[in-house]
Amino acid sequence: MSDNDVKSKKYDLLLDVKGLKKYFPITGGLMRKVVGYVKAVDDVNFFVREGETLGLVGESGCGKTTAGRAVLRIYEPTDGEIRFRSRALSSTGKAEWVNIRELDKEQLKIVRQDISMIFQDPIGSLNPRMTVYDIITEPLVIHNKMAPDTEDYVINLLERVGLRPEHIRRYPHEFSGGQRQRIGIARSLALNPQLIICDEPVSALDVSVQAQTLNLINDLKADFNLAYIFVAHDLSVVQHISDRVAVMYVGRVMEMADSLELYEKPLHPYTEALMSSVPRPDPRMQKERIIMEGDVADPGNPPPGCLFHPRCRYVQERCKVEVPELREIKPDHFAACHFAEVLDLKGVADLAAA
Amino acid sequence: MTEKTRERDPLVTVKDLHVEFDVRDGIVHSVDGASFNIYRGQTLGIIGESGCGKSITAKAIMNMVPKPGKMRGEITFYQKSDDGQIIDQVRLDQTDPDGEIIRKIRGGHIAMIFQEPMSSLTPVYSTGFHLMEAIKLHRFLPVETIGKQMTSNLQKKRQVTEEEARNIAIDMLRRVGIPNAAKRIDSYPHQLSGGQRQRVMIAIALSTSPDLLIADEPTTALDVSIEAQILDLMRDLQKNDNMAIMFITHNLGVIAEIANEVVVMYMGKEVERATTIELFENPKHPYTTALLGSIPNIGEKKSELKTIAGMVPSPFNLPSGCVFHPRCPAFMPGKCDRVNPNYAEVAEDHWARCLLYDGCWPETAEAQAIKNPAVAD
Amino acid sequence: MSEAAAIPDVVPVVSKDKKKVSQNYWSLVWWKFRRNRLAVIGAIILLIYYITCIFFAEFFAPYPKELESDYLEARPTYFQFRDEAGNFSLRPFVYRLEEKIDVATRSRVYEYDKTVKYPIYFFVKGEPYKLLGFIPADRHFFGTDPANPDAKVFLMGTDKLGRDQFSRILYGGRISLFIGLFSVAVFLFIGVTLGAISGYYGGATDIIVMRITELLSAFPQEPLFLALGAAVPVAWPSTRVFFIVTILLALVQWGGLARQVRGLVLSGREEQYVLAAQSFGASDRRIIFNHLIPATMSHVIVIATLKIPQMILLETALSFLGLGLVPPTVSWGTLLQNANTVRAISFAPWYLFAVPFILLSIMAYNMLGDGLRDAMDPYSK
Repeated sequence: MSDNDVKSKKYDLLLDVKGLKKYFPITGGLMRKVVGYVKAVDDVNFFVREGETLGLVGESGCGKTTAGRAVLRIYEPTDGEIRFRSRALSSTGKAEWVNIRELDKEQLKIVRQDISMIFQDPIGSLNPRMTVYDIITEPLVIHNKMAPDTEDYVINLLERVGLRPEHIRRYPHEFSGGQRQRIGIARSLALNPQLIICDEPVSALDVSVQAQTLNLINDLKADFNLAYIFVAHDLSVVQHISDRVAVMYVGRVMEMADSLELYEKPLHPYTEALMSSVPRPDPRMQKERIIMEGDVADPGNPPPGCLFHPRCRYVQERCKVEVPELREIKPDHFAACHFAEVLDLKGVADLAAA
Repeated sequence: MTEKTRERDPLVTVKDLHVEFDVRDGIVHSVDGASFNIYRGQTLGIIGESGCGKSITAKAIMNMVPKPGKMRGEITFYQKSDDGQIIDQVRLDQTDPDGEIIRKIRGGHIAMIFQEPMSSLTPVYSTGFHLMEAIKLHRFLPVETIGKQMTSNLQKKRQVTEEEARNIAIDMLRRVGIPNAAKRIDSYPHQLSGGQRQRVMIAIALSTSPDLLIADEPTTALDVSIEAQILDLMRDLQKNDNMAIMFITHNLGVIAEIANEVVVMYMGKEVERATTIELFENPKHPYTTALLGSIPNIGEKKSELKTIAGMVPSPFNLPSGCVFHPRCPAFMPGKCDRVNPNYAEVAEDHWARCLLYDGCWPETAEAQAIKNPAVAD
Repeated sequence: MSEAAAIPDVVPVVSKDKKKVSQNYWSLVWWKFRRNRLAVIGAIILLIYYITCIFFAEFFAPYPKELESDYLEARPTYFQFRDEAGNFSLRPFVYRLEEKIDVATRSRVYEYDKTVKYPIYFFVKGEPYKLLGFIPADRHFFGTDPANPDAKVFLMGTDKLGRDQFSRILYGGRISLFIGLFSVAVFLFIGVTLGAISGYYGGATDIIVMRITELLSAFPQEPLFLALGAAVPVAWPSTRVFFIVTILLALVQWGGLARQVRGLVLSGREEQYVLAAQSFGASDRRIIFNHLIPATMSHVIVIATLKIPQMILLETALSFLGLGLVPPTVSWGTLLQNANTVRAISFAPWYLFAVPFILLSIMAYNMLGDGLRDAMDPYSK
């Protein structure tokens, strides 16, 4: 693994997730016995470097939201290692590595100053009975960081996200969806975090508002020295905003690479098929559509071997029995496919015949 | 009219549609003067963001505008026989919303599918029940043919039997790509995935072989791979049955894939209409241009997305003049905020509502004075 | 610099009647409430009740509640405006009561003596009392001429000891209405806390609490309440009895509220703003008290408002049957004890005057509660 360490520039690394698992028990029968598990996240590995945006993309049920929330232990992981270089928990002033899974309640609360979240639903993610000021300062209150100049600080944050000082006394229902999302973003910045997990932040917004919000998220990265995990299902959005992208399917990472490279030359059949399905705003383009037959696999009853094999057009016997590992096929380009080296898959450009 | 348009066979024509809601705080013009045609076998895409009135337009065509909405305008449905003769012209806006005529048309000739397939299907009835309900209501089988010269309208028809309906239902499920149709027909909505439910909705809509399918954001809630399948399915069905589609969405990619002609709506007004290729390559209205610039296109890494400044205005506090002017990058002070542009054909088969084009300036003396200030004393 | 800074302000909604719709959730609720005529009427009626019975009973009642007179079980002397001769007087008056023996039943009855008129004066001097418990005063809202010891006004008749029923109804209202409020307060405290904890933590806590509520609801409520009421020692001082009855009322009923709150908390727990608070490290206590319980408030307030009349009725039932509050404590229930025989009702039907009083207060609470529920419902017009 030392090769990988060098290639992933370990000194730059901020978050390193290995073997993350989250199983939800299925109970059945009179005595509510556990009869099976929904393997929402099953052996997921990814990492995030300082100042970069990692996109987590996949279709419904792929576990991207669960994985994002498991990093913060909002969902308690069933297994795995979540190593994070925390500033808040360090006693020396320099960031130190901790395993989030091993933290106790007190430490977990402290590390939540370093990692915050932005949510999908602009209406539901803000308490309708609290003013904007209360909403943004709640994290400060929880961590006892209120100070005499807090109001100025909040006004500063509001202006930074494109709202106005007088909005401080207003209630969420007086704002549009895009503005509410900005309030959520301001809130996530309150404690000056190192990493922000964005859980489908633009999916519920109109197209024009989406663009504004994405630009804002990007701008804030440099100013606040942030790293992002951007969870979304819209491939175009994810590719635009991420530096690196991890593609998930039914609880596993299928492929992870630099975002442009992923779209130009994917190494996993699922990625290839997914990209061919994305509707492109170019009416002249005649895409070659790679049809994925059938429906997304059921995480409660996953197929044996490679999860994707029932829908893969390159399926071989080996795929039906052996689970492929996520391997580094090319420098900084990981794929979980037995035949990643030999398949010649079509990237976004190849799929379009002009 | 070009060759292309002459070939096109209007199925539903909408002229000057207005839908107003009188709520306590004022009058909301949900649809403000929409005019377009839907042609047989063609797909019309309606694109716009939330609040632009596209869903209400679809409901208006079916005469299903919810109270307290009031609709006015001309919506004409041209019913044809099998051999292409126009047998009936129904003014949909004048039918009684609860009456027999419109109920025969709804489902029978014009079918509609919605965004949330879960809420469109009753959870206590099986899939088969839903399908068969539609089939039994609208499908009729001929009893006898009274001479070949007579149009099919004059044939005596009888309703389908239970068994025939079930067979038709299974066949429909197969056509929309539900595996194991004979078994799935008895399953309940909650046992199906989102994509399957939407296919069932399409099956219900298509079981009566409608002339027009109105699809209101049908794939917005679906995964991209399922969306692709559904779009392919709709295209196939259109080809095989010569069905027209009115596809409402906010997703420009989907529109590019499926629509022949596109109408762009903003705040209830039609701001641009053109064929798809023409719209994407030569957008005439600044809103369209801005929309096209604000979506991330896969495969291109843009450094910053072009945004549309400002926000959608409150319907009770519409800007003066052109309703888009506060956000328009091509805003002309003194003109766009004072004159309300007309909807005019600014290029061949390409309509727009913008003062950048001569044809959109109203003929009133006032407007002309503003247009040509040089004439002032 | 990105477009982010250029967002214009939210356009405020200006309604047709030029009133700016207020921002706060509670102002919106108030505004909607005001438009519901029935609810406003209910609120006004309750306000009148509270003023006349709880705060200023001594002022509105012409006589103290224990004052006995010689007119035993006398019929009511209603206000008259026109006398025998047909003279109209703006000032109301009452006739004197004359004691007579009913020949048939050989019992004492009272008839109007139309020759003697006692005019009614307002803000008249009467028995001294302490307003609000500490301000000495002696003016009453209405009464007869204080200089004339024989002049009496019994708007709703008297009881066996000659005590004015009208005054006693007002004093009784003080106890009954107060019990209603107080027991609902206890009811809320127990129900909301247990329901919220049960809903939030689930698991064993939830199971235990829910089984208790089921146990409680398995008992028929009124007999349970009566049994508990009968267990109250007769010897206890009336204030202690008062508190025990209050607590009993709450104890018997909190189950329903706990269930409702539990349901609300169960769904509220999944809201994204709760998730957001958790992601910032909010403690469970903070989430329950700052987020979840306030979200249930609109439901809870409605339940509470509709619960008060139930409590009043329960207390009335209890006292009527001679359990819990007993004479000399004056409550509507104990007053109604006078009406518990056929003899009483047929010969002295004025004992039933307490009934419309109770009914009206119940109705007013219900109208208020319905109005509140509609006002709080975010989906109603």
